[in-house]
Amino acid sequence: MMEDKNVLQNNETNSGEDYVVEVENFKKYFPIKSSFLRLVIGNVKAVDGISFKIKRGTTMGLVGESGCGKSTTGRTMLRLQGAPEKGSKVLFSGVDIFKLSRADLRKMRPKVQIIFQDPYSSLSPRMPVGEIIGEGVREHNIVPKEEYDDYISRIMKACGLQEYHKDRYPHEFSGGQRQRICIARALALNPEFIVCDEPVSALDVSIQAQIINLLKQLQKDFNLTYLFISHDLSVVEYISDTVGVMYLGNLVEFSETEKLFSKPLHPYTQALFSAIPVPDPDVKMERIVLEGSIPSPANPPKGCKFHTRCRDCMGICKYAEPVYKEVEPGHFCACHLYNDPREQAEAERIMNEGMAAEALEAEKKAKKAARTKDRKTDKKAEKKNDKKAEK
Amino acid sequence: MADEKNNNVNLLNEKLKQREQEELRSKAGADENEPMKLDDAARVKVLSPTRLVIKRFLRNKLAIVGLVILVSLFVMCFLGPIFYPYGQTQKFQTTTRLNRDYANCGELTQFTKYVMDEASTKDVNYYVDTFVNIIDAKGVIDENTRKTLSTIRDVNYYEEGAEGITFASGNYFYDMKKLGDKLYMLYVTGGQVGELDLMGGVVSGDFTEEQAKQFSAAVRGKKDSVVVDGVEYRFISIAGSKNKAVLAQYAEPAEGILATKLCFDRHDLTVPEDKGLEEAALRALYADKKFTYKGENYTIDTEGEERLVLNSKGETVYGISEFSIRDYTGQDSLSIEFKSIMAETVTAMMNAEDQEARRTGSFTFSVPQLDPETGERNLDENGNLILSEETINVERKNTGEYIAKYDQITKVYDIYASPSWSHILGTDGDGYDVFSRIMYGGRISLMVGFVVVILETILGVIMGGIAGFFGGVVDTIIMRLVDIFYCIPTMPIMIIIASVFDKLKVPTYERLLWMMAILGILGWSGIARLVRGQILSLREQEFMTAAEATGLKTSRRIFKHLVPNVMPQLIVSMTMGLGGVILLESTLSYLGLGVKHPMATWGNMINSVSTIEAMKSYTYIWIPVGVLICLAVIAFNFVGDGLRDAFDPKMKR
Repeated sequence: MMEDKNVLQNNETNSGEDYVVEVENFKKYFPIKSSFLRLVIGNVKAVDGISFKIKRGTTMGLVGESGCGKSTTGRTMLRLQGAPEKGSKVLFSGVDIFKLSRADLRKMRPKVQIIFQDPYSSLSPRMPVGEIIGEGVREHNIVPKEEYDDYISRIMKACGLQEYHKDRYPHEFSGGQRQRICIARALALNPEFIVCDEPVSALDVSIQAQIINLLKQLQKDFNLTYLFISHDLSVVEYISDTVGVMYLGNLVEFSETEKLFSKPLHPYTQALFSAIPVPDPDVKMERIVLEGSIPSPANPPKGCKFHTRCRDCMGICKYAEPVYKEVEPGHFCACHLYNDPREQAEAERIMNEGMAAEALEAEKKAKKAARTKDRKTDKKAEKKNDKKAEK
Repeated sequence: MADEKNNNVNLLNEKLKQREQEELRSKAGADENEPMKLDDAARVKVLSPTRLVIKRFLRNKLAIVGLVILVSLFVMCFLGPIFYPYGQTQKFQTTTRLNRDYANCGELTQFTKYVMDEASTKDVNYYVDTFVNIIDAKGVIDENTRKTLSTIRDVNYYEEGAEGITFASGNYFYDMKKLGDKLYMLYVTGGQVGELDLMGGVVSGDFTEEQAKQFSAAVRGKKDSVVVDGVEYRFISIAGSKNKAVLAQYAEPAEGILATKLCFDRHDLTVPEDKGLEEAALRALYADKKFTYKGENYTIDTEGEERLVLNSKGETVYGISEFSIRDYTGQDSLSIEFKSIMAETVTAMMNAEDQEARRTGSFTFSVPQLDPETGERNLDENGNLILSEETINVERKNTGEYIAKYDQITKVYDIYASPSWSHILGTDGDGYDVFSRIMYGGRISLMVGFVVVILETILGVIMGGIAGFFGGVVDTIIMRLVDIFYCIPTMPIMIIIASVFDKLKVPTYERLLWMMAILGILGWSGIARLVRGQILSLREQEFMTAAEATGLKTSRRIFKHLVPNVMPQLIVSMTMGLGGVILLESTLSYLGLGVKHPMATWGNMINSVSTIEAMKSYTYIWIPVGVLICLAVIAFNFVGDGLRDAFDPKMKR
């Protein structure tokens, strides 16, 4: 335990900043198995190498369209959905969660909590609310036994629930109240970090505001750190300190909220932001409409993954993967538009190689096709000759 | 780290406490101005989950009906027998008038023997009858008889005649004499003094040379006997030995066995039989008709029809008759008056001309009165028997016996008695009380139901739970096992097992245990499938992920999150199963495959009236049992439904 502490301190001194979460080169593939013999014949690359850090007491928003790997990131980094690929690193306060033994992991669990999108299925229907909230508290001895009841009451009050709700069952509550129960369950374990996996998308707008405000209030009061996953950009803009934008398993842009919303760099982010509705009928917005649908993560496009739908697509985009780098201070982006000369040269080299290889391939194909064609015509001619001879 | 953690905890808790107090303070200030509010907390009375389930259960009227039926059934079956006076295998008797044997009369066919010299008559005791027959046949021996006796018993005959028979057997020789009518005496007339070699010479024995020579001469002369020095010796051949013989010396006759076909009738039944007196009387019967026994003088009076033995005071002690008149059990308990009138009747029948009169006869006599309720002899206040006049019929049997019969009050098993105050539901074909058996049978039926269902459920939940929670290969293996168990037909298996049990003669109770185990093992597959299906769907739910994120132990995740969610289905399947198992047990017992007869179950009680005629006539046996089976099954289903609804928190409060 002391070693852990040392690691934590070292980490702090090294970086100079107090990061609660550090994610590096995080990958999660889901294998595709053949129906015969269950052999692995491919991978769905749900998350394909993302890196980010979250400071203590701040919120990071994670946005992107459906299926881009936001939720997978949130769940897998808490070790709730199997192991990630090799080379992935997730540090909570300097401790690598994937290197912990089962027993240590169980001790670690209260520190990192999660709030789910669907407040209906995330509460056990046959448990009273007090038990749902207090279960983990008792399991991990968060408070002394004699304070247990009062503690649960206080937590419930802090989350906007009444004390007498303790003995009721989840089905007796509205969606907003249930989400409060979920938040109370997470909060009761005294976590440092909470993954909010689209916590408000199942709620109506007025309730959304309540829940968001509750989360903000709790963060202020108890110095919590959030990873806020959502596809609702206005909510993310409201709650987040930093925002990451994901596309097809990759983080394409990351910055502080204000910077990102005032000046989005990546074409995908620009397209995404242009879709935010503005509650003013007189304002004419330039909408960037993305063509086509999101490509399959099982077989992502070569080069920049977004090039199939990008309006600024260039030749190099089709062959060279863009580098995820700090374009402006504190503003990270992965796009060839912001290449420096060295990177540009490297990208062009890759493009040329790729084109050459393609050309070679095409030539081979053409030759092969011609050869088979020749052979076919030869055979036909022979047959004709034979027939003639017979006649 | 631990300290740090504690600090953190306290921080959160402290902050919460602080906030609470601030709120209280602000509230205290505001309270005075604010009007009273209708507080939700005060309005809604909060019940604990268990009490809530009970409350919801009690709201269901059908469930209450079911529960009441079940409770009363249990009280009846498990407590009832304690207060009910009869057991399940207690046979009941009743009395009825039956024309039954009272006495029988016949000439004695067997000899009464008075053995005086046991040692020397041991070998021939059982052949006395044969020797008497020889004498009665005027000394002519059937060739077969002679051969049999000679080879098996080694009997050598010397003289045969109507008055007596002289023979040798073993190491002795005997005289059998006829003393008088039906009275014979076997005398022992000598014993072994040595052994002879038939080829010549004495082998053993204390003899002079002269005597030995004379024996050798007699042997060579193929004589049976010889007189040496005025003493008669006889040679008795030894069975199985061709060249050796016993040399026996003739001696004065000594009494060996007194055999008679005469019968003594005591005049005073309270005096015990005295064999010595009888023997002395018999010896004197064809002699001087006077004898002294144990210091008292007796005389025998042969003047009247009956020969009587009189003591010195002139009182009759014994009558000597040729008939043996005994009661139907063969004991000499009949009075001398009855005997004489019976003997008279029989004699009259024997001498009658008419065929009908030879066969039947009758007389009246005062016999002890029997109580019609209990079948016991009635006594008056002084303890004396009350007598009543009865006509007694005498019948001649083909065996030559005469049987006296009259309508007597007799105890019989009280079978198929109709319901009455002493037997609320009557009695069955074995004279058992039906109500008592219903209670004992209910114990077995309910117990079998519970044990089997609990066994099934335990197996099913464990197997289904493992299959559902772990999945993969384990799931596949267990589910294939379930498929196999689904295919096993219960009834044929039970028939086979029952026949095996019959063959091995397994005791009833053990059989019951085995039956429960087998039914449980055959029945778990359904529950396993149910549990597995439920758990498969539940474990993908988000609350299970949440439970994992909370860091709960696997066991807690299974038993606190998964099992409660399977409970309603389990309870329903258990209660339905209970009814089914009770029915199955009844069916098996009805078919004679389950619990065996003297032990009661509801099934074999119905089986006891399985024929159409019995079913029509004895409805009070099977209708209550059938109704109880139906009630039990229905009640279990009601309670099961009620429990399912009560466990479901989505039900309205």
